[in-house]
Amino acid sequence: MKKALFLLVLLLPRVQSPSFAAQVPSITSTTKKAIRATLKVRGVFSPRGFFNIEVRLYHLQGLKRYRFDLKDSLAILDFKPGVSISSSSLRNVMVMAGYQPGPVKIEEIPVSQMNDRGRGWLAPPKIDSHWAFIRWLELNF
Amino acid sequence: MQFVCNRRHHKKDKKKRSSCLLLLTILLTGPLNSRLQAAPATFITALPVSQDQLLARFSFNPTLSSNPSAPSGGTQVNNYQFPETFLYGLTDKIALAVDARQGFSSMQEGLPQGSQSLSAAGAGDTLVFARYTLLDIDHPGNTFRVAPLLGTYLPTGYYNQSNASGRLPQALQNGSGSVDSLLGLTAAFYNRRYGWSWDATWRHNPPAPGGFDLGDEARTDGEFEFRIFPHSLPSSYLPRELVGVFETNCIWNNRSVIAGNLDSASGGFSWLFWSGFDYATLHWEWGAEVGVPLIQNLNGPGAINQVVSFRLFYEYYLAMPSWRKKKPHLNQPGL
Repeated sequence: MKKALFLLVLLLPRVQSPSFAAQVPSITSTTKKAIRATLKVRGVFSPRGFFNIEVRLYHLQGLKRYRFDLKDSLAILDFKPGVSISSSSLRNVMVMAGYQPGPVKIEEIPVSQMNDRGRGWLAPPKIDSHWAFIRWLELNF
Repeated sequence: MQFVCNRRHHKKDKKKRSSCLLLLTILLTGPLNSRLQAAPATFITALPVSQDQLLARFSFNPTLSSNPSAPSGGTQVNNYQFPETFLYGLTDKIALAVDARQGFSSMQEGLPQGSQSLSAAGAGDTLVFARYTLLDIDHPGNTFRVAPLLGTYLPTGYYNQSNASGRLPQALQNGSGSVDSLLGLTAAFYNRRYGWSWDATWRHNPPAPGGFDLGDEARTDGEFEFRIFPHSLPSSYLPRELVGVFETNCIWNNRSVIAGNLDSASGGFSWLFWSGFDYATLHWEWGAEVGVPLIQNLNGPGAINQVVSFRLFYEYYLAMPSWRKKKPHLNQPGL
């Protein structure tokens, strides 16, 4: 009986409802749903503070678009459907940029919501050159 | 007696001119609404930079100085400096900086036999320093950092330029001629409303070849900044910010030694006040400031006092390749 309860506790996070899935540290979206990650960043109070986070976001696989909220120190990232995202990889982006990561929220959103091009949404540039120097130029200019 | 009167008038004029410039700069920025953050323009030690980031700053710094009460009829010095600053975040704690500069100086000097023009141009000393972030406190609403720094001035500047009549005045020289050491401490605080940064540095100038020894320099600088535009931060997009800036520099210079003799017309104390604007975006920033002296207590009867200084800069942020090994389990981004 104890073993059964233990197994149940272990399996619970895997069978939870979609609304609760937003709180788990890692998520893989379905082909019909995209992923939105909201990162709270500590210590960013100016546009320049987001620069170092921005250039690191480009290397996250499947990142479709992103925007920054200076008022609440948030980075909001939308990923393509079918991408696996973990909160540890997102936290690492902030750590590598020199900031202390705050809470990370990962949730599934309808793809139609991701296609809404509102003000403030940015798209990562294409960095696909064979040459490292050209990739550096693509990254910075 | 006539000479004394003229001197008094000149002093009054100078005070009036300084007061007008100070008032103008305060009026330009003072009454505007406050809130946050850019970077100091008159000192580079507290410039913020993140890991694997390169900050490239190009500045133009003209300074107009004069000594209208000089016995021979007045001296006017115009100095134009073009510093280029590169600050690189080696790790999240260590930043490396290089500050090279070129300069052009001209002097119009009144002599009994007529006026004389002197000029000099070339590279200045190159500053290289490393800064270590000792204390780093990030809160959701503010950030505070304290970082000591250690550096050196490389003798790339001319310090002994001369013409047919001998060594040019120190006001036209652009270097110390020796490898100088720099020791300092910086601190900075920022929140969403405003920010400040501060530094205190000591520059030790050992004797240079040729019997010249530029006096040591101790200085402390402060900067206060506040966001003017946008008045309230939007949450839907990242705005471009117009920031009001006030800066101050307190500089003490020891007397120089030339050919074994103490130069009585060197060294002294200056307290400068600056005011201006910065315009900041996600990738670049520019700024313009005007500075006037509040106190100038320079040694010697021929001391050339600063009248007004301007500082324009443009800086661009570049992402640099990470030299650290990637952690495979963390999907670490990098070039």
